[in-house]
Amino acid sequence: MSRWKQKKKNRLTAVFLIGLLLCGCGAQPLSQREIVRAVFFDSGAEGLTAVLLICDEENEEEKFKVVAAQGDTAAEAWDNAEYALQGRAFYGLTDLVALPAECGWKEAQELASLVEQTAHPAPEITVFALGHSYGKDEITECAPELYEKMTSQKEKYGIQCGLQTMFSKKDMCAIPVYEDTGYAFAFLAEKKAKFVCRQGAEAQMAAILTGQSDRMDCTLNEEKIHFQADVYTAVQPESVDSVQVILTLSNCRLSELGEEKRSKEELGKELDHALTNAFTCLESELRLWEEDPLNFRFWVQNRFGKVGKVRANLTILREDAPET
Amino acid sequence: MNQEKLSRELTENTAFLDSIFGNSGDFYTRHFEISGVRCCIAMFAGLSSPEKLCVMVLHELERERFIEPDGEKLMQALMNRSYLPAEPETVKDRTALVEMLTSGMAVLLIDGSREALTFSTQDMVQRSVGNPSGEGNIRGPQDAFTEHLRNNISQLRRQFRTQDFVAEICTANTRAKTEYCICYDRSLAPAEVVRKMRECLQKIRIPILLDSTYFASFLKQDKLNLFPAAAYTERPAVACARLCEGKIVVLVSGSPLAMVVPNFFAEHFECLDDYSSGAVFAGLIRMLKYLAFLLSVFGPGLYVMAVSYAPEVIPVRLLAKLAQGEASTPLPPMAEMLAVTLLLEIVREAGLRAPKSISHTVSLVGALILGETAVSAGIVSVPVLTMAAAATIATLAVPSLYEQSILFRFAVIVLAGLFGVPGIACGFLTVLAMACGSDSFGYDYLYPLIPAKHAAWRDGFVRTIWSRLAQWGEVLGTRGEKQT
Amino acid sequence: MEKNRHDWMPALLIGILSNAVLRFHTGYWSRIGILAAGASILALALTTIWFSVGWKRWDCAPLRGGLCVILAASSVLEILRLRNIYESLYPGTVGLMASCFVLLLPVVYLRRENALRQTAGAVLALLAIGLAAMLLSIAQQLRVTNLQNISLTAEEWLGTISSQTVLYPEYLLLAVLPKREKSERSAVRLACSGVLFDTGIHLLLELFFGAAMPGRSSPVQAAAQCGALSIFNRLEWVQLVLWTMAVSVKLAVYLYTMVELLGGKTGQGNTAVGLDRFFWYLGGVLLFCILWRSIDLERAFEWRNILIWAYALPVVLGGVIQCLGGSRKRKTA
Repeated sequence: MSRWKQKKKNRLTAVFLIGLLLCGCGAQPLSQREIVRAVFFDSGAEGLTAVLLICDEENEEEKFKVVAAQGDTAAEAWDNAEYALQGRAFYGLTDLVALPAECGWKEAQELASLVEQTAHPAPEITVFALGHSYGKDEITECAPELYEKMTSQKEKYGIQCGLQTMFSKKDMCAIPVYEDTGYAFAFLAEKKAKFVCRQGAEAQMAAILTGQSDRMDCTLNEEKIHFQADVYTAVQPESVDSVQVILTLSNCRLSELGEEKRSKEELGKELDHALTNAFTCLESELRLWEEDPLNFRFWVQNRFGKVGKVRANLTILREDAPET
Repeated sequence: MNQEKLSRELTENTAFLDSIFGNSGDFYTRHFEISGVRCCIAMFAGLSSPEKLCVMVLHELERERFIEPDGEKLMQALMNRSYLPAEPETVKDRTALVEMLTSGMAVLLIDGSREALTFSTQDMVQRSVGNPSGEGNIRGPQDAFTEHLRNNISQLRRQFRTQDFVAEICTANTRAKTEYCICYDRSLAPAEVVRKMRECLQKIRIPILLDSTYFASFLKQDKLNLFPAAAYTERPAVACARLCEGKIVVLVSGSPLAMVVPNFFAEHFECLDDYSSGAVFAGLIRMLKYLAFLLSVFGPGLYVMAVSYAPEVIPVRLLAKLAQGEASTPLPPMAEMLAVTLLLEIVREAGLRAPKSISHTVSLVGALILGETAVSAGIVSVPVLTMAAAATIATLAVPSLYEQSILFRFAVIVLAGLFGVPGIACGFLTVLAMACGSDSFGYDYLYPLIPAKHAAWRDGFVRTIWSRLAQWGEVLGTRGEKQT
Repeated sequence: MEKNRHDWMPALLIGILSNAVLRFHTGYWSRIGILAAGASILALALTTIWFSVGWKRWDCAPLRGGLCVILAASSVLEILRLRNIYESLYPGTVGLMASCFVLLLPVVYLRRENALRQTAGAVLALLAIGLAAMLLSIAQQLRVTNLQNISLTAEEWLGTISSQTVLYPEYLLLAVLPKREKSERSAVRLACSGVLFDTGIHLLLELFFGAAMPGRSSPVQAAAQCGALSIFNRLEWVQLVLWTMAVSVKLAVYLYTMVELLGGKTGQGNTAVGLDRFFWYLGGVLLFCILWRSIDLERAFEWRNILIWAYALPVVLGGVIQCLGGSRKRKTA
């Protein structure tokens, strides 16, 4: 009798374990997944457009296929775009999101939250803002090219604007804005109008001072000098209302673009002058903006415990790249 | 077999032998008289040598003159006053009589005596000492154990020439009464481990003992654990090295494999060449072996997990190729991987068991024709075949863990295919828990790898140089102290 | 080659550290957390020590039963919490039953004391390596300016200390499990490791998320998602593997302790939990997982904390009285 009971028990256990094992099987074939590499949002007169840039596994010539859809809200547009896909959207390899050119702080926050909630599992996503509004047809057409260019800009300028940086301040955020030649840099705040640095050196300086880039690559002095360097920033509070910003340029390369031949020292002076100008310009504009996106107040408050308006002075330290 | 004492009557004793061995063609008896007392010599022709019997016993008996009135006195005379090279212990019961005869001894039964004399006239046909077939090495000694227990012990003693070397010969509780030998270094092996081992082996009751591996299952505490309870070697040199570490080597008559206990996981990744070649190279090879083991167990499972559940871990360019491969085959990745792995195992098994003359054909058909046609017919995809083949080859880098690698691999493929990333975690933890739970006579199976202290880098994951290695004694029961 | 001598510290540490890693939301800002760490360590260490003293004195069947209930409920909550993470990462792939199976299958091999202790040590080491890799992979995105300048109000202090002094079952297990070293030292080590690790994780998350930190759900997982090293596209699956292993070890410790409290070893000098007990545990956990599948887990963990404190306080008071009585006796002597 006990042997029969033991047999029964063993069988029950086996059935139970097999049952548990069969609870798995949630796999999805690779060929049924639509691998989304980037999501573009564009707003126009006809509403909000969501564009999904998909890896095209079957077509070896065309690397991407594009699916676009419109909706009253971003979520609706995105839903419609997903619905238009043949397989299931897979966001595990998504690495770029582009926000509409005109978006303000509130819209940017909403879109970033939407991306965070929808794109699962998604790695670090670089956020760009579009330079101008495209319209549905145009953005559908040029999305692959935009993706390639934005990715190459990201590599070239060392841009690291992760999705989480959109939320790292309570009422403000900063994002690079895609432009055909280089990038601009936009500051968005809850209670202020959008502020965009369009000039190359100034925008790159802004990206570096907000911690979203560690490289500069631009032309100076009316496009007569080309400048390239890895940049390290340190901020030292000096007094209750001033900080010292130390910009250390390493692997610094300066080259003449015009016919004029200047010595290395002269080029250096030109560089210092141009960077100081860009910094002064940026700092004075942001002071008028009355926010602290460059975190100068953070350092002062930590050092002196008080917060007020803060001036910043720039010091440039330069290490030239070895001559090749 | 009964423990009945031998009779005083020769006829009764010979009748007993006739009743059990009488029908055997190789059983040989010869009756004669010594000083008027009836005697009988019995032996097995295939196990004992008649020439040896003549030289050792019959010639001596002819030369010496005995004037003894009865069998009892004749026995005393033969034991104490003659030059006959008899064994020091006489046979007193029927069980011992049969054991002596079956182990190849010649037995002299004397009428009127309750004891019998035995002579070591063994001369069995045996394989000569050859090269080890399963443990390839470039440098170091190239001799291997044979099936003959005495020879194996002598091979050990030849290399381990100390007074502390002990070789305890015992008879197993089997129907065939197979002999085994527990070898250890008296001064190094912990007495408690030796005692436990002795008791454990004595308790074992199995119908037949053909190999030392039969003992292993009895030494396990957790029967669900798949890791081996003992290590095996065919090389006397390796066995000696283990004896020097205070371990116990068990030799079984008829088996060319010596069992080593306690054994550690790290030992499966060590070989004689490690110590003959340079430390850096040996370290590199050892690391490669660990990687190979991980690849063989987890490689196919990780592939299935990545393709079915977590494509984000695969670079985009490769992903497109994998997707194309997957789309062209009918089976899901888990089933495909299982099928290919099974097929490779079948090919291996067929190559191993088939007669040598056709084993090459089996390999050729399996590897080239099956693989090539399966891919071109779109039954399996190239990435799956590549991964399965890589895992199979990686398994061969650690041959002593072959069985475990295969079993774990199948389990990991199933878990990864059914549950994805958590399935891999489950598989990894189960393997780790099994390894940690393999209690080898109270010693950590994962020593010296976990916890990774100095010993792990001295002679574990890698090997340090000999001058440093020699300073530290890795002996069972000690902390790996510096030798002074 | 020594005989195996492991202690329970790694197993208990894994249990405590995994709570910091798998938390739903952060509890405090790291600056105030660092300032309050000392007081929290002291509170937890003293509670653990006095609980041990009280347990030795008042050990009885109802107390044992109570602890078993806490452990069983904790097992279910742990599984449900990890299942939530599975679902958020790989939606629709791992069901509730499958989660239970995956987490409890390794426990079959973790029934032996030696296996459990040694595996816990190995998993702890792997967890440390995994976290170091995660830190390395998101190092570029950690910004000092993300640290928040907050005012140290009484409310903040209270919130921080209450978040740091969550009484996890592992603190109580120290009194129950057989130990090798002095329990006082173990209690301090455990409290120190738990609080400092939790504060470290908060610091890391604040450097990563900045002002958005309190609003992030499953913040460590969200940070791990962004991790990528040059040779790997993604690293969070490695983290998930490690967390799954840590929770399995935790469940094995709970099962072992329950059997230690209620009986059910295989006997004859064997320290393994009987296989029949394992199947009861598996069945029970599975049943409660199904019943509790839709509860608010964050609230449930809060309730568990209240329950544990309510359970532990009388024993702790007993321990305090015992200690005071002991010191008075010594003085009189």
